[in-house]
Amino acid sequence: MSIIKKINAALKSRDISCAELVGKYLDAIEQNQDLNAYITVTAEQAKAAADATDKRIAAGEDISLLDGVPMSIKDNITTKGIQTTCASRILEGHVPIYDAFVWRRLKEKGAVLLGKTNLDEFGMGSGTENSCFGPTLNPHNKAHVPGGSSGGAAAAVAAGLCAYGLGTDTGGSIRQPASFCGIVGIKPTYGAVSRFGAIAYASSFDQIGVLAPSAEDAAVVFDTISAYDEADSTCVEPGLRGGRAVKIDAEIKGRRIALIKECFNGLPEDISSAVMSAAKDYEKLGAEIIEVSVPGMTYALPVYYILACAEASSNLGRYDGIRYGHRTDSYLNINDMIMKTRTEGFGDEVKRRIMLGTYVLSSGYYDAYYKKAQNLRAEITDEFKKIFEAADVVLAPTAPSTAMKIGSRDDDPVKAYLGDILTVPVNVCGLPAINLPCGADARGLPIGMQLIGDKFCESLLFNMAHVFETACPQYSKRLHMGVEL
Amino acid sequence: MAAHIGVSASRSHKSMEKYELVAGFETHVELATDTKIFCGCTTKFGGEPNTHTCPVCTGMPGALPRINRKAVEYTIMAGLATNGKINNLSKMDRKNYFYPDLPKAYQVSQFERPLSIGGYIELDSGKRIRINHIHLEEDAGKLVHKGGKTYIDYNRGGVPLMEIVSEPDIRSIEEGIEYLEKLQMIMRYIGVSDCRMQEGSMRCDVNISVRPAGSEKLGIRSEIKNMNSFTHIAKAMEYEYTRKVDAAENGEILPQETRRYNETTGETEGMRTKEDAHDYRYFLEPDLVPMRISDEEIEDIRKRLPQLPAERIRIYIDEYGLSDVDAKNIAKYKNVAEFFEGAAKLVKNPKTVSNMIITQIFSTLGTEEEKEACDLKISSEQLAGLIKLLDDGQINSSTAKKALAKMLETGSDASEVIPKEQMGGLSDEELGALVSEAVAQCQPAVNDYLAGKEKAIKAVVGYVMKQSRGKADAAKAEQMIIAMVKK
Amino acid sequence: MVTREDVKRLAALSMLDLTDEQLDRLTKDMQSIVNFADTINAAEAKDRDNTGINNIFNAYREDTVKPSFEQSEILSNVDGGEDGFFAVSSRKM
Repeated sequence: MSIIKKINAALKSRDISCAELVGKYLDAIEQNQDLNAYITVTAEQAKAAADATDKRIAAGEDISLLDGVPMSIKDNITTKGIQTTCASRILEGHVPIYDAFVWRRLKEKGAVLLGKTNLDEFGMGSGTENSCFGPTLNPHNKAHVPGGSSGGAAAAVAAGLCAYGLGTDTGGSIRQPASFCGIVGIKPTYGAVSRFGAIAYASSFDQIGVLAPSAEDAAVVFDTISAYDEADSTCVEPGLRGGRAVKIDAEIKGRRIALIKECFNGLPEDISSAVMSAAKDYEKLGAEIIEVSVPGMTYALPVYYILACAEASSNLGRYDGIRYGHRTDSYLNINDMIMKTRTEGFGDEVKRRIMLGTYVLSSGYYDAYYKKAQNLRAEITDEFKKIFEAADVVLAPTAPSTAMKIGSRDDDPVKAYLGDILTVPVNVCGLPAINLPCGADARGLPIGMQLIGDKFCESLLFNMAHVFETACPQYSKRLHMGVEL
Repeated sequence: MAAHIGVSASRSHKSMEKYELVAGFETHVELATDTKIFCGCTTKFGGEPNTHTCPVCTGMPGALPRINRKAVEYTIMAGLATNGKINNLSKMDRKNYFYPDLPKAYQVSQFERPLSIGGYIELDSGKRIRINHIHLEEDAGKLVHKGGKTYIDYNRGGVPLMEIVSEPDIRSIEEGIEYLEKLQMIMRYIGVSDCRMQEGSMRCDVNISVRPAGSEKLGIRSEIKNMNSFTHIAKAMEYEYTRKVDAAENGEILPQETRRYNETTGETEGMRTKEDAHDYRYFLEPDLVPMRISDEEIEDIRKRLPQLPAERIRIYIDEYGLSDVDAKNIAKYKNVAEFFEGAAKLVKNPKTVSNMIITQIFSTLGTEEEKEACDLKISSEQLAGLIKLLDDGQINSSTAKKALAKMLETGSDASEVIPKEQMGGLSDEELGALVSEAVAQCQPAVNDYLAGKEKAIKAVVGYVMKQSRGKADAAKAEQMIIAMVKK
Repeated sequence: MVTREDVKRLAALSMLDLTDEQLDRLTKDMQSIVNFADTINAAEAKDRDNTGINNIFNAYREDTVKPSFEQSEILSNVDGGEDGFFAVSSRKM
């Protein structure tokens, strides 16, 4: 059931005022502080926005779906006048002077911002353990990670601490935490949503997306945030987007779903059987399952790390303590100031990725790594494109595991990277993908599957996801925490 | 060409026989767009620090660029005006390095696929200085070091710059200065920049090396920066050439380095920056999309280019009969050239127009800026009107001179400023008759003249002037007298 | 093989100051990561002209002046700067 629709109905019928509703959410956030989902809670602004919604309702206005709906924003998306840290010491206390495009759009619709959610520093990580504010806990089992990097958003949505949240996905950072927390998470087509105000990790991979309890919710929010923004040169104009609009409750009979052989290599039994079971459910609903092979997929992960880290090493150069953020206390000269500031400000994972990025771009290594990875990226993209000649969507597991225990990370950084193996190909190709829950492991930790579509086919993804949710509601189990309507 | 620069040629002749100077220039030209390259902030000069800035040009987290169409167009124009080939697909790249005046720690520039490739600037000698390429990039902010602190103003950060890189085809200081002067003239002509070194809208770095005369191999070069005028450039080149020749004579091997010109001492100094630190790690700018420029668009831009100085000079000399020097002096300033052409096509003898411009109008337009602007109170048509009166013999040249001065002051037509009495001069027939009479009456003077006393002709002219009560044109009369007596 | 010297050079290029201990640890990490990156050596990929993810071109902006931000806003994250400038002491010990 769409929580946005529920809230909208309740507000319109005056069952509850927006002020009361927001009060409930703020209380829930307060009571669940141990989850550490929020870095900043914007109580005053939220209350003011709620009052504005209530005034509109009192004046007899027909409020839009998003008006008065309490939501959260990942703390790497700029909010004017509200601290935006990227969970990094280097931006601690940083207050942006402008709103991200997506936030402006939602604000215009009357969205109520509850606060900024926790993440892995600069989006680099898959567990929200790389945050200078400490880890976020998985509401399903507080000893486990919520996933990352949009772990705070996922935990907040799953725990009922907001109706929906904005996140970012560069290599899986919306889908994987959505998977670990048993909720819906959409990563749009690259270029569908403006990145103006999304603090950059990897420019040709980053996309802002939505985490929500249902596909319908994600669809409503996506509709607003996917407006064209000319301030982002990579945002694609409406006329060039292609993709047919599909109604969210359209029949899925005859839809062709592809299963990629390589995705199931070495997958734990419970995950692969959950996804295969979902495939069977789709068949029962009238979809056709086909098997395909994408051999290039094996290279997607190193290609991603090479290119994303290259872009990141450049994007993060601006953090030098001169115009904003942390500046070191003592130094011998300006160069020393910059070095000390960055060394003090960045966490270990960020430093590793900057170094790798610098390495693959440096003279002598550019051809073997950066250039080669770019060429491979195009190859993998071509391979994926071919799938959509034979299928409408791809069905795949989202992660090769369920949520791991907090603090269980290996010393070897590469082991952590392997967790992205199923999500990253989507970012490499710039395709849209949605995670939805399809089961749980023996410990009750959610298992997620992703539907991947061709470029700008988000409405088809929402449709396929919505139909599945409606037919198999048992997977969208709600935690009885936070606000329940 | 460099005579006015005052470069000493004292020891150069002997050395130049033994050692050849090899040089090339990297010229940065600030484009005259209204807004910066990636954001809508104004490029207007001045203003309080950090008041022409926004999140984009100060590199704030989350801000993204969008490229100024005009900056691209201007760069294409510059490429076409220097005979370059415009790339149908062009891209922007990031050049990564740390410096406080660079807010993103990378400069968006062009490395792999610049807008214009090749081309040349032709010197008067006919020699062509080849251009390697022209690319578009963004300028950095301004640093001020004072009292143990560094102050940064990003108002200039993001202003669009065009970089013109020449091949090392220059073989003398004179060639170098001529190349720069012609480059400057072209950029001003096509209106992409006001190209003033003193104001910083044109900055030149010279790469210079020497080699034994006759050698094909390039010597080790040094890059000289920090020259604010053509005089500085010439002095720096001379100093550097001498320094390198001395080293070569002493068997000393100089390193490849960047040096700074010191305007107080006139010498170049080594800079203490680490050369090896500059691995720029160029890669395609992912926040922008490539530019696809069709042949039609390029043609369209080419058609809209004003006729260039070199072409105009040729026409002035070949078709209008102007002298080499006069043609160049007029063609140098586009507005003056257009003013000249406007009048020249309406009169019998374009040289009259050029003479008036050079002798009188240029005194009114005293400075370079004024000549560039050519903001006169009269139009080409009005000037042509005055000249017609002169050609018809209605007035003489001294009257015309006074009239022009008045016209420039008031903007009036010729007929409004010339007193009635001085109008209506002598027709050619009337003058011819007077001349015949004068020759007849002044036989002794005529004989003296034919005997070699040049000055004697003045007496005959004087007779004509007296008889015509000053209406006759003295110069014309003299010509007619000489023609008549020499027959 | 990524050497300690390589990592030192990379750190300098990235403007990062590492202690010896951090340098050692990072060298080990980098070796593992670069080994992982090296797996692309086995792949075949033809050389392509990179024109971006969505093959879009010519995202131009017209040359029309837009209001800039206020000086105070631009300097708001450095406590207002000094006399309108961003200011950094050349030395602070």
